[in-house]
Amino acid sequence: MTWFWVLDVVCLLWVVAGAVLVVWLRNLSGAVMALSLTGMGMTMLFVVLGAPDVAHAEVVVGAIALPVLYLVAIGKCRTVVERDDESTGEDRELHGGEPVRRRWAAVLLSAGVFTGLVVAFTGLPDETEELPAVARRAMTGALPDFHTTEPVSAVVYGYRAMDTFGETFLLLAAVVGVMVLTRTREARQGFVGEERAADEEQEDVDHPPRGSSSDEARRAERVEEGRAPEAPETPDREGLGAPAPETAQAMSVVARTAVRVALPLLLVGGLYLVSQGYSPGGGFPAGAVLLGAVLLVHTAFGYDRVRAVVRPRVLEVVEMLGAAAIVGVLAAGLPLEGSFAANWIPLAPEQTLRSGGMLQAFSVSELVEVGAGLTIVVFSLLGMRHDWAEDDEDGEGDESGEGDA
Amino acid sequence: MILVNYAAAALVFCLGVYTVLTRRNLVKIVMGLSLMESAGYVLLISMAYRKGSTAPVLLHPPSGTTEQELAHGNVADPVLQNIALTAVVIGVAVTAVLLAGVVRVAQHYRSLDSDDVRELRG
Repeated sequence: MTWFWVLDVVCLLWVVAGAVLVVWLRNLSGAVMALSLTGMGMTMLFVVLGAPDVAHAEVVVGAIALPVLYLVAIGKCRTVVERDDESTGEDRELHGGEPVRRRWAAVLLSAGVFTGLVVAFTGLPDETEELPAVARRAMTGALPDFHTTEPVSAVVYGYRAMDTFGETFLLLAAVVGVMVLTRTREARQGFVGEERAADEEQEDVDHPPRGSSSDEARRAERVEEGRAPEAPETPDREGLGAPAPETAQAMSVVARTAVRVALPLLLVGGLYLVSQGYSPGGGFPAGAVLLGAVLLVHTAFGYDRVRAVVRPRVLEVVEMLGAAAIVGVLAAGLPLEGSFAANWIPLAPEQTLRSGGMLQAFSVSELVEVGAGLTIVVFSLLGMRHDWAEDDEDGEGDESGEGDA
Repeated sequence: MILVNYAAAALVFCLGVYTVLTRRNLVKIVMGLSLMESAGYVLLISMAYRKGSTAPVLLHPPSGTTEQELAHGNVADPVLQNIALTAVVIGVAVTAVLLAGVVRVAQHYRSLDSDDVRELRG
């Protein structure tokens, strides 16, 4: 039992303990944190097992992207649950003892799957076998083929560029899927004036727009309490020691200062991952780091500070430009070198910013694509409206009124 | 010895299966799917490991070796690591789609309980 195996087993225990917590915790936010804990354990495990690239990707995904997605989604659902609390009092089922179904069938089935998997895994190659030929080919070919000292990037963006191309567009498809799912209902327009034809009747049925009345109420409440009715222009205009809660749509001066210090470090780290293409990193993790930077600014300074960038008009264009750049980089190999995804950029000396030829171009395009895509996804979820079905007359959440959703 | 890693991957996968089967909260079910994905990453990276191997990075090889020696020497499998790397990123995107669907279901049925979502049963 060497130190390596001690570290390995410690990391495995960490991962398994996190996974058990995910299953066991009733509080959804707690379970998200447990999931993040599992991600950190896996990051450590990947470092121990000699996979720095995957560790880079897992740490930003496990620490930033997944928890944020889950917490935003839970926040959106919790609003609904609170409405349930008021109207139907069904909160006990959602917050109290977590209902468990089919417990024994599930235990049996899971145990069966476990046994089957373990039996199957004993037939997998173990740590004493020779490396497969493709792996050896990637190791020995990275330097002569691409002048890069990073075989994993050579595989991702070079040898298996076609697969990465497909996976990137799977990511794009998922982004489009989220955008479609989170879009608010649009008024139908432009046919024969049908959207105006029944306006009078519609007004009898419609509730007044939700946003305006609650905004007015909030403003009136502020005036009543003798506070400034409007938020200051920037959060930094908020006087120190002003009575809480601060009116600016931002966090306290402590959080803002911390973000001011951390943000440049995070940005440099992310850009380092992609620019130093000859060391572990690459466009995938760097894109997720960019998402983290945008989210930090958004959380600490409010939406106003990121409004210039985080708009569908801007982000969707950037996303499509990233996709177009990937297609361009890969397709240029066809006329210039005779095959799709062939390296057509002259190779620079190794361990320089431009070493790797096409790999670097692909990696940078991937950074744009992943960064913009993940940002679109998170902000689509954040901007989701309460588009639910209307109440029945008795105030129960309706089971039958799905026609209007 | 690497069998311990394989067994842990199987265990995490089965915890995910158990969550998906027993929990009624839709967000929890998505978390179960995330756990099953994680088990896949652990398995892939464990399969990439070779006894006493270093990371498949030719930058700054350990003292006494050249890049060429390292390329022919004892390293972890870069191809499996690449597969895990892309799987991690795609996993996030798929989770996002699932969660967007869950939020829509919750808004429509006003419940996160999978038992309330049974329109197709009539």
